[in-house]
Amino acid sequence: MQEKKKTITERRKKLRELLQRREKLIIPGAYDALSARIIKGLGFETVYLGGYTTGAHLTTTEPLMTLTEQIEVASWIVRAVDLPLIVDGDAGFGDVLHTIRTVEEFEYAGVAGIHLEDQVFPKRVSYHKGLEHIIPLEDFEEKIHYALSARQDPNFIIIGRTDAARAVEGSYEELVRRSRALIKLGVDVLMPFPSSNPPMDMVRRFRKDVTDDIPMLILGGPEYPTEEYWNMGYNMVIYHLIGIFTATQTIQRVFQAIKENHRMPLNVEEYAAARAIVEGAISLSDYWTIEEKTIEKKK
Amino acid sequence: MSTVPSPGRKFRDLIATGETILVPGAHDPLMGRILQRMNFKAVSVAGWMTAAHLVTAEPLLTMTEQVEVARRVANAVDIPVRADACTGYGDPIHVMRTVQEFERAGVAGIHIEDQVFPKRASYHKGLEHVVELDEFLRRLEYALKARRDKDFMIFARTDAGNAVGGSWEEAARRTRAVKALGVDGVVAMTRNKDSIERFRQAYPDNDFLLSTSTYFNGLHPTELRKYGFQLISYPLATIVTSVAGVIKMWRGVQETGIATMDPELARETREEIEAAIGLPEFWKIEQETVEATHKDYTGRTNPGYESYDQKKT
Repeated sequence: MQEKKKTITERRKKLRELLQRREKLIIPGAYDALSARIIKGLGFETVYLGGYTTGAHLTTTEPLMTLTEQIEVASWIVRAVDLPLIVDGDAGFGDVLHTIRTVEEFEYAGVAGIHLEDQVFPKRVSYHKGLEHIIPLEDFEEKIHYALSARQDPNFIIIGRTDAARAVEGSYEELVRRSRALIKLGVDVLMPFPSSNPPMDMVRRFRKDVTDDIPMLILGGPEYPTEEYWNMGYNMVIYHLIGIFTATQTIQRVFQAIKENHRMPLNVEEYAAARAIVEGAISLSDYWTIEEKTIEKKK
Repeated sequence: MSTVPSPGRKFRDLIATGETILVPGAHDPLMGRILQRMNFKAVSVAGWMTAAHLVTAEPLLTMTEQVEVARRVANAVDIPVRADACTGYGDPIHVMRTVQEFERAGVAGIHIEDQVFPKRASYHKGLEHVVELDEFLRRLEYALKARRDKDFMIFARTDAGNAVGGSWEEAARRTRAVKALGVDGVVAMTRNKDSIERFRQAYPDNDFLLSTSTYFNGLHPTELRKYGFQLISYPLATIVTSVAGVIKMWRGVQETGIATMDPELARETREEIEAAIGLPEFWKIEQETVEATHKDYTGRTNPGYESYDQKKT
């Protein structure tokens, strides 16, 4: 609160610079404003908001989440941290017109960039168990073309994502074909895999077939260290789900313990330490300082 | 058990009286409240007007935005609110969420249509596409299942009469199919006398709740009732006349530099707005509490901001 926050323009320029330098990045996934603050506090340069996490956070599931809901959660994160925020823009929430509105809304919300994918819209819940459908490439190209032209701020990043690697209508060859089409259209970043567990031989092979010098984004999984992805030519590694997974797990564990033992599983010091993390993240002490100077001034 | 009837129950009871019900559109809580004070017995929140109100086009409006406007209107009135739930916003799973969101918003019922989703802006200029009847029925089947309050009303709206490849015979076929499925009524998008007659020729039965919308087409409710329509909605008239009033007044300012309105009408309208938002009741409570020492303050008696003058005297 005391330090001056970076403006939306500055945040977007920052992301653009990082991309231009092909900076090797670890991008943690937040699911709300508080988790984003914690991420910022750890010194990360960028933060990510996924669709899966908002669907979980609001308990709607991602395919039922509306554009308005994703914008709302993104807006809270934009208010909370002055890091460039990359958001999951799903399938653009409809046809070309809807995709244009999607780009505009995320731009107004102060987001630094979004990824847009070729899944069918309305989305289906079955894609969460790997049964995925994609739209024809020509339709997807149209969508991306209009998304790119809908930008007001040239530093707003549009990431092209294709789910062709695992969709019913897809194949490895289709993935390569769509990736080349996206690069040709001028997307800022390519996201060639929709999940954190694509076969590693395919991930490796893809970067040998598609050697273009373009920032590449991948979702990090639990099996490999970040360097593994970086070394294969994916400079942006997003850890999109682990935040909400572990937070949920902790809540479950803690309340299970309270239910069983009728007592907190933390001692006084541990409890105070946990509290200090939250209060630090919400800048409580900054507010106390101001109150002490104003309405709580010693007479 | 609650003794307060649910919004859906109220709507059903109103319809059960058999009277012809005029349903004006309300795009915000103020309009809803004003219309309720005019003794209208139901209001509607149509998609076109919400989109206009939020300056987006209806096909781009999200479910969340439409629910939010419907919620605000429903919170402001005691009469039933019928909301336009578009196509249900997707596949069966999305339709189910749509029903639950509208129900939770406190509206009495919704209509779900057979247009394609995502919707296209071209339908506003008459180029309309509808899904196959099977797909429409599937939407409605899951909509009916998703209700928590069985009195929550679900109307089917068919655009088949005006759609590419459609016909009034097809609209009638769809009406029979949705009736068989158990929806509560149909909105057949009969916009003028010609389409009304064609629809009623194809669907001559009087065994189903029929709803029509009307837009300055000169048709009297009595006449529409003769055609069998019990619910007559005016989805555009409120916002269109509001905007016309705003344009007229401000054009006057641009031309003459002076804002004008008939002083008596200005006073009446202002008093009506203040009554609608409950200002007199708030004044009363303040006079009993924080303004108790100014009990004798009678307030302004004229339109405008004359209270300053009054203070001087």
